[in-house]
Amino acid sequence: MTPPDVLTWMRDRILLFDGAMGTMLQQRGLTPGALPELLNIEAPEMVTEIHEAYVRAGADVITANTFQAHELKLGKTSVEAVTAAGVRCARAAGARFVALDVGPLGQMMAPMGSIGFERAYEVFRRQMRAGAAAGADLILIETIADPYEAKAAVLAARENTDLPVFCSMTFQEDGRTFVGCDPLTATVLLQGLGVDALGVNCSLGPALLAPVVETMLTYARPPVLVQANAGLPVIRDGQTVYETGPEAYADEVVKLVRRGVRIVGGCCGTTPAYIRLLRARLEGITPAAAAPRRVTACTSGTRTVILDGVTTAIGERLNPTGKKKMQAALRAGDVGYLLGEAVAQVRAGADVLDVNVSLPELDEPAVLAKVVREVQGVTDAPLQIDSADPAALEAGLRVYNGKPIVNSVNGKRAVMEAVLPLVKKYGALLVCLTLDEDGIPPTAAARVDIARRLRDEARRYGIPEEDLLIDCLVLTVSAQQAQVRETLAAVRGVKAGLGLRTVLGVSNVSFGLPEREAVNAGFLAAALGAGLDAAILNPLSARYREVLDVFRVLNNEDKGAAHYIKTRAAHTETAPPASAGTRAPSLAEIIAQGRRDLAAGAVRARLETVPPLDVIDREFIPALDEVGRRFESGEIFLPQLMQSAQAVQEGFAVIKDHMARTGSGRESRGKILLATVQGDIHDIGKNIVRMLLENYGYDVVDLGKDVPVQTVVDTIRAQDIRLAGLSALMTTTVKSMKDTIAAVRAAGLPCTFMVGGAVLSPDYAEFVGADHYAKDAMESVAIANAHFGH
Amino acid sequence: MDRTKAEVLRYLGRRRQTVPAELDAMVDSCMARMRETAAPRRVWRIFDLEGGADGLVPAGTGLVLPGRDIRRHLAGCQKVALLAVTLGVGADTLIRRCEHTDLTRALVLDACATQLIEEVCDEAERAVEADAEMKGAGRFSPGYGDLPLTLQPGFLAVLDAGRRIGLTCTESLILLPRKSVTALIGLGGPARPAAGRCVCCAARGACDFAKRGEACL
Repeated sequence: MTPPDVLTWMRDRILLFDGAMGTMLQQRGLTPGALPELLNIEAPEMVTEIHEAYVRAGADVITANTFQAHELKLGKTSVEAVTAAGVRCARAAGARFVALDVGPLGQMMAPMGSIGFERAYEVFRRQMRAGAAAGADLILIETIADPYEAKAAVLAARENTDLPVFCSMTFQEDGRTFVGCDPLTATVLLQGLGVDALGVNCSLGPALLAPVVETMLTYARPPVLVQANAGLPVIRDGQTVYETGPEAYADEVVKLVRRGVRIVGGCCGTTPAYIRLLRARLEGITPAAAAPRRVTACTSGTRTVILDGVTTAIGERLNPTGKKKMQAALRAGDVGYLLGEAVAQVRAGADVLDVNVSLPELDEPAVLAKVVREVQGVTDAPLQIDSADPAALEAGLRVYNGKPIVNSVNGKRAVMEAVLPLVKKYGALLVCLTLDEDGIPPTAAARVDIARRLRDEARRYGIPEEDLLIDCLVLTVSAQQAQVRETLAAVRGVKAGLGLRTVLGVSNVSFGLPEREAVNAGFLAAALGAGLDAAILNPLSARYREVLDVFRVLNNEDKGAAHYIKTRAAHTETAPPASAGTRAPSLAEIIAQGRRDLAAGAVRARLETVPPLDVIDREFIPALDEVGRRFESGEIFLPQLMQSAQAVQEGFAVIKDHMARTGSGRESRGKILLATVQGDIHDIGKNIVRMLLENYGYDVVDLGKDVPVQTVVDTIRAQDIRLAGLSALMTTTVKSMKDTIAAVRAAGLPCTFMVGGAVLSPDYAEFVGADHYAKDAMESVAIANAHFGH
Repeated sequence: MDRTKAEVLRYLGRRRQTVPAELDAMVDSCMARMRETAAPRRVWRIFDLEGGADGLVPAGTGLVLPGRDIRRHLAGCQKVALLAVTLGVGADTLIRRCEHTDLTRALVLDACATQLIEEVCDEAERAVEADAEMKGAGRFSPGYGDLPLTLQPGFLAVLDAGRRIGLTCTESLILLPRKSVTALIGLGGPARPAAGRCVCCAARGACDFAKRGEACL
């Protein structure tokens, strides 16, 4: 008879892990800073001896010494060999179960760092395969601070092994991980990914972790794991010490077990003495019955939005349908425009942002993945990934950090079969449209029937009903007037009959009528009255916001009407009266003083009498030249120069709009490529240069930061670029700059290079083979002007 | 004007220029925002100092501190502290997100973070001195003078800095979070003035201050 697997074994038992490995190795003379994993090969008997001590102490699971046995740490040493040796040591000690231990990468993932999701996945995949091949019984992913890293590791484990996966994150005294993830968010997203256990380890002692554990127990459906340190680490006499002894540790851990924790063990500072005592104290304790709260929740990496008992606003503006500017931006790959829309919607009060990039000529999976990544870089609002193409949905779901909403599935058999497995695998809320092969049913009852079918089908895939958002579909009132009441009736039916959450897009109802916002706002109010939980709308509309804000007061969500009163007060604040006798400043003065608030209005006024090109050539550029001169001479300093540049930027936006409307154009003054070189991830300086060059009418192709050499070569060739600016901030990345220029030269491309950045000097510029050295942003403008003969 | 704010303005390149009221207010609001966002953390370990063939060695670690400049800095010291401090990811995220909406504000936030990390370093240095009950000889970081940046990964490993304070290092040897410092502090040696660090700075002659004929410290 084969022994039971760990999940079966722990069904009616508290599972006990071992304690620290590093602490024990250091007691045996491990050099601080050395890789403990190498000892699996160099001194296996020492590793086994420690494991044996934990087995004798009564641990059920022995954690193999493979915490950072990955290629980023091991370099040329074989991941497979170190992992196999580690599992062997644990097995040799007589462990009942051996866990492959998988710790963090030790480097930060994008957008904070430079490791992309797929790279992280590859590193973890190699570890997971090695661990499974070595015969580990389960996988313990632990000490993770970044939920994105946890996702890469969990996917790598699930897609490459059949082993149970436990995942535990590490929280600081402020109740968050180093990257700002809170325990609720961690719980929601990890259980969405289908881990077999989730929890917390390291950083603090069991007493201080109690609040984090309590949140996890409240929401977690899988068993909760706690492997605390032997107290909060303190530095004494220049060394880290842990001050909670075995007795106190066991007392605190047993308290957590009585609250419902199912898996315990030890982290930094714990020894076999801790585990032995814990074993004794756990005697006779049966697992507490769990009754987790089931909530409808989506998350980003750092924030959770719970859709229960509150009205949720989903911003609809990241969608090219009927939006010329958005279409143009997507075609040009100008993510900046989309990011601006994203930030504006969140500022206007959107709780979640819908992201749709479907345009016929785009590679939708690739673009959706890119936009999802970039938008997550500028906001912590959760996203709703919106596509009719399952491949695009999967691309977006894969790179998403958190538990998103998927928009959408419907009652068609083929669509359900394509979308439901994705939602189950990655974990997401799911918008369910009440239509099927026969179209949209005309009656509310029939739509409720489809909702029921969708719920049952989702259940078959293991998707719980709280993860569904039923969309009863809004038809246009001008075309099918009787249908709007059916939609509202269906919302009521879904709520009352099925107890499911509902969502509606409110904007379509008004097609063909004047004053569409008024119609939409009225419909929104009616839908909210019918019990709608989430509305997909344009959050920039003051009218919708007003309806939402008022409803949230009437529905007892906005306690004491605090938000309502605050926002109304802001609305009625009167502008400060203009002091008597002052005249309006001229455009030149506005630029000189960097008055961004006045620039757009002033430019609009000028355009009534002056052609747009004259505004640029005769007003912007001379004003900027003057600001530049005062900067050079030291009359003003950098933030003032930038304020002026930002004022011009506001003005430029008005001119671009005007030209687009009137169809007038302008020859580019020249196209310039900008990039922060590979390995360098700080690009504020490059962004300042970009703004100034654009102010002077140049078209800038901005490749961003950490740009691979080949990308620069390819772009220069494809776009026939003759002037490129490279930026580097570290002495270590100046070499990338040299490599980039050399590669472009070797490709025979006739491109001139200017370089700049914190560590650059004329000497370095010569060293990297650049043509020009720009000591500051203004000088890059002078170089460009000379290059293009302006 | 208080000293902290004057420092922030100096990092922004101000010399004698008057600061317009609007910018002044922006600096105030950015300083407040950065202080509420940053989550300063620190960790250190203290070692006896040994002389090795290739450079000084914090005893018991695999670390070698090569070069002339660190030898001069630690001359006469009995012990050395390895110190790492960081403002955390939140500070970076605040700056990065602001770059998409208001570049000037992003630059000001960046300067506020630079000032704050210096302040946090000073506090940490005093804490190290108190822990060691010895006077410190000032901070000296990898990348200063001929002390190579390649020390960074090993330095962080000795401190277990990833796990303890969330501090990591890229393959290009950039510390992440960005607003972080690693430094060696000699202990129990002769007091020496903290000034004159340009002499052994890697960015000597090339940093924004040097370009203006000034020094950062």
